[in-house]
Amino acid sequence: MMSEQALQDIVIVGGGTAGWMTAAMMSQVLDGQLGRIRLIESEQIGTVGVGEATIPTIHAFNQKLGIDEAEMMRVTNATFKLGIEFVNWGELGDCYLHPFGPFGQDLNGVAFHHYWRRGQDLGIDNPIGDYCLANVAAKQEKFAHPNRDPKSILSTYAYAFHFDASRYARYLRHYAEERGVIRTEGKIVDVKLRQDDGFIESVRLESGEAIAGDLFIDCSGFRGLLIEEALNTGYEDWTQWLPCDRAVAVPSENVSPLTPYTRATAGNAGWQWRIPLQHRMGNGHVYCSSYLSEDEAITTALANLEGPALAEPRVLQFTTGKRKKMWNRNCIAIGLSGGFLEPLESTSIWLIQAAIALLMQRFPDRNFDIEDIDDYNRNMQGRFEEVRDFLILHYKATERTDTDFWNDCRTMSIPETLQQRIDMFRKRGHAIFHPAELFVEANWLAIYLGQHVIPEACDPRVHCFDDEYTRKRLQQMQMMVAKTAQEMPMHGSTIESFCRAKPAHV
Amino acid sequence: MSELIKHVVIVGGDACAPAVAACIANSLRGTDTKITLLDDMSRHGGIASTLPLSTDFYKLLRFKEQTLIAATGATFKLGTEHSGWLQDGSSFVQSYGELGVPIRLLPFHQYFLKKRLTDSSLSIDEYSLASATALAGRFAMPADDPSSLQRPIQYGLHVNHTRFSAAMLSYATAAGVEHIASAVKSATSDSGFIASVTLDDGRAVEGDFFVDCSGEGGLLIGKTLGVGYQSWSEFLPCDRCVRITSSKSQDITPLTRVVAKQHGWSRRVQTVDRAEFEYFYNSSTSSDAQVAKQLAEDIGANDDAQPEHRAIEAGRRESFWHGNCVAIGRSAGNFESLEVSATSRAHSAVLRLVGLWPNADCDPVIASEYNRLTSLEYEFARDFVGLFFTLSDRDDSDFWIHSKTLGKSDALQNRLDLFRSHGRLSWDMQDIFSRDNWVSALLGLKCMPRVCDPLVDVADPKLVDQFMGELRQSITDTVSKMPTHIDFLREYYAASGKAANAADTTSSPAPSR
Repeated sequence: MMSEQALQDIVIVGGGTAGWMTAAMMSQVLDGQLGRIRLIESEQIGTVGVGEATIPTIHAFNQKLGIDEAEMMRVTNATFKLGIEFVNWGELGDCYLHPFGPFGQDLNGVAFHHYWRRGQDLGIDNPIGDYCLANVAAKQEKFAHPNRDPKSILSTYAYAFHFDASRYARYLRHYAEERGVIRTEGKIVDVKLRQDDGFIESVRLESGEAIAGDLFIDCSGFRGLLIEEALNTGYEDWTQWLPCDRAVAVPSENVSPLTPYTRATAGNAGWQWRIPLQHRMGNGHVYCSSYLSEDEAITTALANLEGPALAEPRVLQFTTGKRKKMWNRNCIAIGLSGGFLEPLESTSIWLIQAAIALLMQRFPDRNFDIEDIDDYNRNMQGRFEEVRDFLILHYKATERTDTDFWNDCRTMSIPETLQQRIDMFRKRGHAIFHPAELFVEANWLAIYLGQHVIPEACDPRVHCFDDEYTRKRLQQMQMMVAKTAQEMPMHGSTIESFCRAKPAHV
Repeated sequence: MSELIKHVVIVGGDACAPAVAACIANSLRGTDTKITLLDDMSRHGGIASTLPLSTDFYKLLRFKEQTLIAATGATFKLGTEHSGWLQDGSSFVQSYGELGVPIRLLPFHQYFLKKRLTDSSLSIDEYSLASATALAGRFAMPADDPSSLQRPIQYGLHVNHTRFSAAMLSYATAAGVEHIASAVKSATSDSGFIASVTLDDGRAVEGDFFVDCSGEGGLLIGKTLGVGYQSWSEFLPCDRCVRITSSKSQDITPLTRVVAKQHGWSRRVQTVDRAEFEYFYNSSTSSDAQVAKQLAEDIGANDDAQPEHRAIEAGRRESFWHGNCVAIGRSAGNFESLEVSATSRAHSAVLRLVGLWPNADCDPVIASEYNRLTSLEYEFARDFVGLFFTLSDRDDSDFWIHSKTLGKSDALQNRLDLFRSHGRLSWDMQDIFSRDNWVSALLGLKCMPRVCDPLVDVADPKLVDQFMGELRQSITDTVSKMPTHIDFLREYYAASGKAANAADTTSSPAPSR
């Protein structure tokens, strides 16, 4: 028997990636047994649809929904992703990969990179990426699904996707509608609050129809139609650390083989993304408007396209930061309405996913207990801060002196927790991480070592072994990685056989 | 670039010192670092109780568990049986196992809570294999088969501390540690670093890194370096403990037994050849004589039993690592050993230390990370102990009236608030206790959520009922096929005795009825 306090009407406002991801997961978890789910969206408004690159955590979401990977990839024109390539970050001319896999293997209980660091002293100058299969395979444009056998080196990496986020949303819409989610087309013109407690009572559409609900999920994008415009929740501004505030997005034709990685190239006052999809290349230029004009930004974006542009450049504005409360009264902001962090590490979809997962663990009833809400907000604050700090590291750890933008980034003061992490790594090569966090040791290592934050010394336990041992282990590891990568199929041919999109979709 | 540490000096006194020396020696094997242990081995009595996390410790040292168990007269421990905390006379088992199986990704206890609304006699212990096994006095090793109910069994040990220390000491000396059997009298420091220590016989020992295992007071970290001690008397009630050891044979349960009593709480732990009883109390509400008398009566001790009293200054060191000195054991912190033992805390600390092993300059950045992690661990453990006093409804003596006045940390308050609303748990990876440990203590102490998770209603109640019934039945069946703990021990010791005889080493104590 359902409790009297059970939610009856759940209203999702906005149908972009965030809205349909939420609707799909809710319809799966609630299984038609609890509450009615309604999603309101307007075709006039359209969606932002950036965030086309994902990270491996996306599998947990898709698997919970029971999505067939090949089908999803075909429908969304997806490609595989083994990491992100960073160009010109540490210094002009630099290039390193942040791969989805560890560097080498722990030896004698000591992390591999300490042996690598010792190798540097011994004159072995291979970059750390040479010891990571995901890294080497990505650079050779190889891709095969990982092996499940934990003894195989092919089990040492994970992968994610590049996909067309609008098509992913459409795919999930179909999924959600099949499971009873009611979609309403319409533009919201008014939000009515309850007089006694300020909770949202209903939203009114242009057509005059009022839609009432117990719980409202705000997926309306940057503006925050419910969380901000109706509830005045407030916004925490993080632009002092992450000053970019504009992006130019422009798709182009594919003219080269599909790379199994995203590329992020640092520019004069920001960076450019390059995301290969089966049918086109997604490109964009994230920049800071106080250092670069819109015209200059667009010119740069267009100048660096590999193939002809497929659409006019579109400019987006944003403020890096987050809503003071992601969950306020009976409204939860998921997606851009909750906060914005530039897609440098492809975290936009992950933050949506994390919000949905946490909502399912703190699912309310009509009492809307403040303990659940506070706990949700504390947790989401932590998630956002973690990503924020990881992004700041990319800007802070630079030796570039060629523009004012980079000079200011290099010399800015950063959150104390991040400063401690960097100091700790620089001294002794310990990558502090909190096990519950998204980014683990390998992630931090990739950025540190890729951007010249090199430990002064290795772990003293490396000295338990003579240098010949270290030399040999490094060489073995590098050769095994190189050999395995060489035997892997090309990314393009894996796509061809596994998930080539039908021409009709192009 | 900073130099490697050349000489590590471990100042003993506390029972954890030989294990600390063994672990450091293991991880520095092959380097030129010299390690010296200064310990007269005078404080190594009693029975130590370890958490499952200590298994990581033995593993790292490549200590064969069977050898260790045989050498220390150990018995297995699946958890702790608690009684007397609530006026209704209820008891429960806080086991190391899993509580049921999640259904539709929702923790099992949510379904249990819903069922309990209609049947308040239900106990969650019936859905935990470890608890059911422990209550039946049986034991079996974890199964390799991943589909087996027995797979996730975890256990700690009750070990004879003297023999455990001896085993650790011989491991350490074999790994190159120099042991000087002498107590340390004093130490000198130079600008926040320990320079040398002086032994009882006047000899001075210099070093560039010091581990302070000197016990309460912290000879190096406290008395010499002046690092303060943060009192937790506002959070935890007990400041004294009395112990009586009995060589009388006891029924050897795979549990630590804890009973809340008039003056505080008592616990019983046992190895194969002796049992130890401790009573923790507060000196402002009970006298030593009162408590010793009650303990002796409760256990039917002989008149010649020698009660040993000791003080427990509940709290922690302001920082655990200062300069070139790390405090491990009671010099780092101390509190009543409800659920978490000083031994396992020390194992966890030294594992952390070797993972962050410094160079001779002892960079403060590394020390601050060690301090951050250790603080978290100490505070979670303190909150777990505090939970019992917060949730007890007793008010029948001065001790319990005093307990009502204790404060709790914000973290514990948040945890309780969240659990009370919908039975949900906030949890951190640094927590020494698992989610299920917390849930089992919260439910055992009858901290009941106002309502259960709304998503419980999504699953078909008939199927859930059927599933829960089957789970309970298969736990009962699995337990009934296990040997009793005492039979298991007898066979285990016989097997390791054979192994020991084959290796021609000294014989080990055997369990008797």
